[in-house]
Formats: sequence, C-alpha cells, structure tokens
Amino acid sequence: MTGNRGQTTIDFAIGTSVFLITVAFVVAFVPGIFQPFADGPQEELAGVDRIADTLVYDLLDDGDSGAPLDRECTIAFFDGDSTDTGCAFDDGDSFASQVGLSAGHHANVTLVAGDSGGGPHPVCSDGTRITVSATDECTSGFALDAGEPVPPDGASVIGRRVVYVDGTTATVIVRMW
Amino acid sequence: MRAQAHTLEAIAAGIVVLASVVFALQVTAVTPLSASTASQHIENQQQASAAGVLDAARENGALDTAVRYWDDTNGTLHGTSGGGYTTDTEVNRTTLGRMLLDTFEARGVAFNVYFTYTTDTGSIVRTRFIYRGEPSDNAATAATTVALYDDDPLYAADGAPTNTTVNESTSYDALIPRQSSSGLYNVVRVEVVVWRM
Repeated sequence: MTGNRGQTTIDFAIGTSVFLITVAFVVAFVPGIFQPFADGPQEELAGVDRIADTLVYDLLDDGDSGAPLDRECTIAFFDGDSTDTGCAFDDGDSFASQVGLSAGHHANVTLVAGDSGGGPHPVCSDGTRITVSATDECTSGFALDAGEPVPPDGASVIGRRVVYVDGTTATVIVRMW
Repeated sequence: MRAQAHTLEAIAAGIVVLASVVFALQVTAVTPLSASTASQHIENQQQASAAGVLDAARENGALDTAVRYWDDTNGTLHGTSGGGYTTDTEVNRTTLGRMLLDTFEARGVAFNVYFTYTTDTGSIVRTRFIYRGEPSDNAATAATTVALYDDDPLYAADGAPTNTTVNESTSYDALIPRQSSSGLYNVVRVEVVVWRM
C-alpha cells in the first residue's frame, strides 16, 4: 500500500473539481447563447404586423388593392364617435375589438406625415378633410390616432405602413406592448 | 503514476466538453448580428413601407411621371448627365423622389430606385433612376409594374406633360426601349430598394 500510490486522494480531488467546474461553466453558459432568440417579443412582433395589415388593407381600404385609404372611413375610424358609416368596421365597437386585440395586449395607432427636414407631424382632420399639421399639435379638429395612449416608459414594438389618404402620403405607426 | 492519471484524465475530459461547445458555436455561427425575428421584423416594416409608397405613387400619378420624366433634347433624365439622381436636390425633382425622401430620410433609411424592362431579345435590363449608394446585405425590396403605351406623353422638367409621346421621342430608347409593336410600348418594373444606413 505504500510507495507507489503517491497522493491518490488529493489528485483525485483536483481532477474531479476541474471536471465539475468545466461542466458547471458549460451548463451556465449555453442557455445564455440562445437567450436573445428565445426571449424576444414574439407575440407583439406578429401582432403588430397583423394589426397594421388589418387596418390598411381591410378596415380602411378604399376598395382598390394597396395602400390608398378611404377618406370617410378613415375619419370615421379615428373621430371617436359611434356613428356607423357603412365601413368595414363597426364604429360603435372599441378599438380593441375593431382590430381583434385580445385582453392583456395594448396597442396604439397614429398617423404621421412630414417632410424629410421637419420630422413627422401629426395628421389631423376637421371631420371632412384630412390635413397634415404644421406643428407638433393639431390646432383644430382632432389628431388621427386611436387605441390606448403610449406609456412614457417601457418597450414597445413598432410597425409601419405608408398610406395615401385624401391627397396626403402618411405613415401609419402601430405600437404594441 | 496512477495518481496523476486521475488529474490528467479530468483535464482531458474538460477539454473534450469545452471543445464540443466551441465546435457547436462555430458551426451554428450565432452572433449578435445573426438574423433573428427582431431584424427580420425591421426588414418587413421597411418592405411594407416601400410597397406603400409605390401604391401611393401609383394613386397620385407620381409613378407615371417618374418613368416618363425624360429630357428628349438632351437624351437624359431632366437635370442629370445620366446615371440617375443622387443628391437630395436631384431626388426632390420628382414627386416619387420627394415622397421617398419624406418617408425614409428622417428614419435614417436609404433607398435606390431602379427601372427594369425586357428588351426585344428577351433579356432583362436594369437602369438606375435614383441611386444613393450600394445597398447593405439587409436591404428590402418592393416593386410594381407600369405599362407604357405608344401615345403616353413624356413629362417636362416642371412635371407637365409635353406634346412628345414615348413612341415619337428620339432618345427615350436610351432609358426604356420599345419592346412591343402592338400599341403597348413596354412594361417597366419600378423597384425600390431600402436599407438602414
């Protein structure tokens, strides 16, 4: 038993520790590699596209294919009253049920337009026509936005569609959180 | 000798485990720049925006004007010496260019516009209408087609139609040549390429 066995126990302990530390490191490290792909806002990413497409190509569409919107339906959708105008949506319904949003999800739709220098300005309506505001606020009439107000903090997913309504090229911005 | 073998064996086993992880990382090439649902989402939004601009341009006539915005005398697009529009001032000359600038410039998105047509021999040719640089690998494309008829007029520099039709023009061949003899001059595919700068 003596002489040729050396410090077997100590060597065995060192060997086991090295191996266990390596295994522990790998187990801790591997899930981190996939985190950016597993954790993303998957639901919102899909939902925001669906809401944008529903609005532009279905609810507010002017009958032709593509991005031109129906002026009257667009105004009726955003004006906040419940007068039904024979458009593809029921004006008396809430925004959530018009775009098919289930409970626990929040969305906001805003129309903006503007030139490349001045930045985006809100798109406003007086109930008959649709115009682009020269400032950051609508001086008269109401701004074309619907849904819940965007919270001041926290992340949201944005979808964009470019539309043509009443002679104006505007960008529909859908935010979902 | 038996004792050190335990240590060496453990180190060898550790190396094998680490090597497997390194190998797995190398073959899958997962990096922060890998395509994910997030970057795909951005490309989808850019593609949808570009398609929307093209739809809007078709609706307000900007698309027709852009395709026929031709200086018959000099044989170029109005205000260029050939090769398409590049600077902001030049791009702003046409309504289509202005719409694209208004939509994309403030968001830090660059765009190119190409005209693609088929020649007599059936080959497909792509010419530059607006060229703002080489698109990145993550560029998105939207396209639409415009039919040109023999009696469609060319447009003057101020955007008003002239008395010269595409068929009578002596130099419009240089932009889009005549392909059909049945009254249809040619069919042009207008292609917008957008990418994040």
